[in-house]
Amino acid sequence: MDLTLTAGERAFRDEVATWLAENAPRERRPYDGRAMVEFDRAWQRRQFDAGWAGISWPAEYGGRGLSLVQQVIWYSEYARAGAPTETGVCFVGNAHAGPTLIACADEQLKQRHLPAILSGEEIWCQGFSEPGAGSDLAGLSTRAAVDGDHLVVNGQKIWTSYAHHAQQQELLVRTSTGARRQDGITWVVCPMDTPGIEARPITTITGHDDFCAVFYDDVRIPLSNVVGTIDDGWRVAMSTLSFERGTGFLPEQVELVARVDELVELARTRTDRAGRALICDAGWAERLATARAEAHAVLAMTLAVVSRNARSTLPGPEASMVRLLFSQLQQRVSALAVDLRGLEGLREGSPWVHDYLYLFATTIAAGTKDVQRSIVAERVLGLPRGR
Amino acid sequence: MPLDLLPDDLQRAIVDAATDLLDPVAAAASLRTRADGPVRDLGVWDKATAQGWFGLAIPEDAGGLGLGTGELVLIHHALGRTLTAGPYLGTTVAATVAHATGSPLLAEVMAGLPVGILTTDGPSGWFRTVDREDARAWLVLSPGRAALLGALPAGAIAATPDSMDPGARPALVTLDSDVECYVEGTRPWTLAILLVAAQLAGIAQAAVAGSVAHTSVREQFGRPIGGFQMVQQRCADMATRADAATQLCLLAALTDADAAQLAASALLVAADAAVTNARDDIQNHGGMGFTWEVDSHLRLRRAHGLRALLCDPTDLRHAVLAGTSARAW
Repeated sequence: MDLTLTAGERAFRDEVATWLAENAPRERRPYDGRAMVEFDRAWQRRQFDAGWAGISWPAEYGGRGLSLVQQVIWYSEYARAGAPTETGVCFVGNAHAGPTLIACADEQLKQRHLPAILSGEEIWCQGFSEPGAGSDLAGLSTRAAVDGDHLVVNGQKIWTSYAHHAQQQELLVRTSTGARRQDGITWVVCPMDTPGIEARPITTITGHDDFCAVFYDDVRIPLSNVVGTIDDGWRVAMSTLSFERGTGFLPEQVELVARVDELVELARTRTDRAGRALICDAGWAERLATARAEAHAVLAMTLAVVSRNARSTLPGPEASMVRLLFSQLQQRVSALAVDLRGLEGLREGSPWVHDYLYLFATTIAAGTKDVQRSIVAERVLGLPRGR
Repeated sequence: MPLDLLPDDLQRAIVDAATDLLDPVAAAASLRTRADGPVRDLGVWDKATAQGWFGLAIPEDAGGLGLGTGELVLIHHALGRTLTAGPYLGTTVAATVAHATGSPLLAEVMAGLPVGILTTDGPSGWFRTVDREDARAWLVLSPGRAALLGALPAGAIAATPDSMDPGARPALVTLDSDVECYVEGTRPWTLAILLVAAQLAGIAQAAVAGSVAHTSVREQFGRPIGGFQMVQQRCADMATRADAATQLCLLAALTDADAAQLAASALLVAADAAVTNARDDIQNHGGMGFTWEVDSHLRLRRAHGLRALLCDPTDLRHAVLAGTSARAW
């Protein structure tokens, strides 16, 4: 139980904070389109050129290989510098596909893709969810048949973020029907310019094209693109999770504290009809105080997860509790941002309206809050399986 | 590693040895009975004293164990979790005040002199306490200052109606003359807030354990009710609240700057966690939860008592909202 940093760590923090203050983008990230892609790529490239890409990746794959403490420091200072925390086009490569390749792929695939991911040259998307397989990922049915030295893929993926901008895709396909549905799934690297692939953007409730449906019509992918072996894909997909040490949402969590501060300030300056500052009203004060206290609690929970992970090799299920609280807290804060502003809070195109609508995704994607609760109940509390 | 929130093996061992002497079954039984006389179990109190609880965070050169606020939080978490009532809070904070002021009472406090807490009650000269039957010395506590007093004349203490909290022995206390030995500073108040939060986090955690134990074995429709989604989701939310409260208490314990805001935040989160979890635990116990004999209502009662102990919701919100956000690292 100790929060004090060593002199070396303080020096690291200062170095990081300085670099970020000087280099983090000043302008707001565009919501979609080419401008958004170039924004994300340029920021990734700037970090890469300065040696800050892949901070949690092993150095042998071009990463920085930072310790857990250093990663916590980096992510914290990242948020404090106002660096972009939105899920960008480089996210899947850096946080998901890349680590999976590191854990499970052969050298050829690693050499081909890892440096390009880090530099921002290669954008990845995730071909996991399907119209019939969201929470129930193992129910996926996009099929792939072996034909000579290729896989031939037919089917459809959905909620594929940035598929229309990506060069590569981490694709889960069904190659056979096994005793369990998890058996018979294959993880394959799918080049997005392969003939037969069509990525159709879907407009989300924000009004922007945040993700796509992707259609596969006799798409031929070389067998050498399979990671692991045929029918081994579920294991490969699960291995991605072991890379996660609890720091995944840390920048957003640190940023949320600052967001709450902005709203507290707003409540101090906005007045009601009688000229009293909104913060003098118990209703607003209750919402704001709870938001600030819970934002601190989230950081404490994350630090506990990180501390636990520092002592063991396997990430525990406690991270689901952090996810549950944080995702809902983000939504509550985004609602406060709208509510505190009165009519101005409804302005279409404003950051607070965009965030309010976009943040529905945080309790739906990457495990709905309902599934997270089941995970907590079964794996943290040991309650009998419900499903 | 630094930036490490969790206790290491040695700290774990210290806390385990401490909590080994707590008896939740006996504690619950005595809360249910609500007998006259001291609230604290004298046997447990003496063993706690012998283990050095009341000098836990006092430096070794002053006769204490030289441990920190983190260890205090873990012990008070266990007190809450086991429903152990008594003036543990007042005595712990009194030791730090006595040490800070060089008071001769320090040795007696570390030797187990029970110290009750007096909080101000508005009209000048009047104070409130819940330690009527146990205290032989008093800690006057307010956000900006604290004072240590010795025994009070019997006439100073007027019992007030019983609280729904069976661990409380409420009274109004009037002093003949103004308190003169106040020492300025926010640390005693901040520590008290944090340790109350720790006890509440412990209650929140105990409610989770109670619900998990019951719903794992209670069967309806051919299976344990803990397998039904509604029950699972309620328990998952309970676990999340309890974890949030516990980890925030630890984080607050380990920070010096902004300690007041983090302690107040911990109390806000932990109080809500304890009351909500205790309510949910009653619900999870179904018909049995509605009975006197099941512990769930005792946790609810204690949660309410502890939540109201030091400050009201308005003051707590002010403490959380004051200034900009605390920064723990």
